[in-house]
Amino acid sequence: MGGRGTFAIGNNVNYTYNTIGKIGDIKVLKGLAGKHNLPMESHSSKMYIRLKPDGTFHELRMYSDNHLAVLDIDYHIEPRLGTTRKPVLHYHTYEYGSQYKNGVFRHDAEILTEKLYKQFSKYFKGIKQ
Amino acid sequence: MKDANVNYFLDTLYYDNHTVIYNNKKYFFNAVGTDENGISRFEIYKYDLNGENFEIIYSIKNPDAEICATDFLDKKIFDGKSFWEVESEMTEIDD
Repeated sequence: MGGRGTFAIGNNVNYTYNTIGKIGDIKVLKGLAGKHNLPMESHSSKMYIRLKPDGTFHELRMYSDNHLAVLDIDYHIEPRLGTTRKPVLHYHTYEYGSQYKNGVFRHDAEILTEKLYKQFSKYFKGIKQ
Repeated sequence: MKDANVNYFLDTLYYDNHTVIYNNKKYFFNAVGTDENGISRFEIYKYDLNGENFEIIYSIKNPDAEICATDFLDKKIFDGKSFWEVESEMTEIDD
């Protein structure tokens, strides 16, 4: 995500993120110009990661073959799952369609499954389960 | 907003959570989520900087996600003020 704007499925993906490192083969992004979250579209990567200021894992976002967000794995408090004091690993999935606001529908949080944990735990920097 | 773009902040409430500090308190804007029945919901929580005294200050459920993400804007929920009255004093953080 360095140096120039690029296109994903015909949409201009603005250059507003810096790649600040990698965890394994996944780029770690940091938002610029007041952007704190990961982009909803990717350039060419299948996944991006965001870290907290102390370097621990915060979020992983996975993208479809047409570069749209399809899965978030997050680590933060999630009151809808009953956690307000400690962060919890959880996930969201997305659906797309013109009937949704902004064309996208985000499913409510669910506790990370054992299967997803095993698949992605290598990226959960600083998290002890 | 400080360290944030307020338009981006509001546009992304449909799928991204945001945490801000205002008046020495944290506020967690829990992104709009939609259940299997098509009902969307959105909440704002307020708590101390050390995580204590966690309380909900705003919640809404509605089939319309846009209503969920915008209804709070003129509610006096931030120490008696609306979002627009205080947003310039809010600092977004990564939490």
